[in-house]
Amino acid sequence: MPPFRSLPEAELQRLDDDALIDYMRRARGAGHPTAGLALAIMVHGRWSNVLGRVRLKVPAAHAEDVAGDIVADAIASAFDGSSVGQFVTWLNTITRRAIADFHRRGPGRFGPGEETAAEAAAPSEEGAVGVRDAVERVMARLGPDHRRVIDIVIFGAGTAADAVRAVPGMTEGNVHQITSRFRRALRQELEAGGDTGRA
Amino acid sequence: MADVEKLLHEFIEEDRTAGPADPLRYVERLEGIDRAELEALIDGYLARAPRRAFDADAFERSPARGVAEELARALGGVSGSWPALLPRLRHRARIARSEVVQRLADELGARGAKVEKVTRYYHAMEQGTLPSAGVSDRVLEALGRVLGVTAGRLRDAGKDAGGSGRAAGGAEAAAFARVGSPDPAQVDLDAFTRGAAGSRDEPRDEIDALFTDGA
Repeated sequence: MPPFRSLPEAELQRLDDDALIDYMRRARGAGHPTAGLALAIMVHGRWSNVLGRVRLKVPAAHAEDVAGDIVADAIASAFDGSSVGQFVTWLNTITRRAIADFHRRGPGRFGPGEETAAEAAAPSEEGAVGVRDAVERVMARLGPDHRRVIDIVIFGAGTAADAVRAVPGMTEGNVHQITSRFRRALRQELEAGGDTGRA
Repeated sequence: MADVEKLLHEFIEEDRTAGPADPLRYVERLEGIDRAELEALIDGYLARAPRRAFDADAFERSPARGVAEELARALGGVSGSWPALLPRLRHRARIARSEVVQRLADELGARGAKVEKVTRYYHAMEQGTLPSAGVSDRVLEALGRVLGVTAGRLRDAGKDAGGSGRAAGGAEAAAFARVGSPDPAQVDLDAFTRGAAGSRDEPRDEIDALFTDGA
């Protein structure tokens, strides 16, 4: 491994999540203070998106606590190498799991007397699969080109023309069909799951 | 369905141009399946959104700073993720730190001056300055009873997060100081583990052994 080389803030900002975590690890090993800056960039950069997702599903009084757990758990486990796959995928897994845990156990994952030895020993991936959300279930049924169209037009707020430019062979007519079908499928999935949007 | 799409685009526009948008302000404008769909789409957008650019001023004012400080103590210290976990556990259990310490001291049979020693050791666990490998199972079992978790959970938390549960070099410990946490390198660990925290003449006793000898 090459010797540690410290980076200025602007360059740290350009690193992707996994590279930034690797940098944190190496800066810690070298005792370099930019480890703290890299950590601040990481936490700040992910905090509000996680908090927004939690606020959609958890009462306001508990949202910051749950979001704090998620960000801390995700970064700590990525840092020590116990996470699975890319950081952003891992963060989404932890987010879904933490929200599901909140609704299963109520506020305070580790409230007095709530955690059994069995629960402590089996936190992991099975739970994450069980709580995959409706969007991901519908996306999983699409081919790569159609997923790309949805990412651009729906989640990227792009235009049909943007999708046509990005996906070879795509027409604007196809884009409209794909997005309409996606949204119908999503609504069916939500209704089938009993999620009819009651506040 | 048109309202859902329009609101999603407005949300994304605000989120990208004016900083984090509040999703509830948007979903509350709808009801029923439309609301559920907008929630799902906003959630999907946030799950895919890139990391936000660092803004030091916003970070200073954000709850994210507290999370980063806990993580810094965990990642830069020698107590695993205890600095992130222990304050959360007592917060959720709605127990003040002084009460945690008193109950821990009772569990360990500490009286008088030994309670102060338990206080200092517990503080070091939360600050990430007490090597977790030295903390005995008896302490973790007692603390687990106070906080409502298993001793195994506490032991595991002491091992991960980059802190290896052993004494780190000062440079490693200082690496995360810039995030704003107290610098663990400034803590005199040798003095601490002698039960001194300022007084090197204090005799070692069974409380020191419980927190520093392991097993």
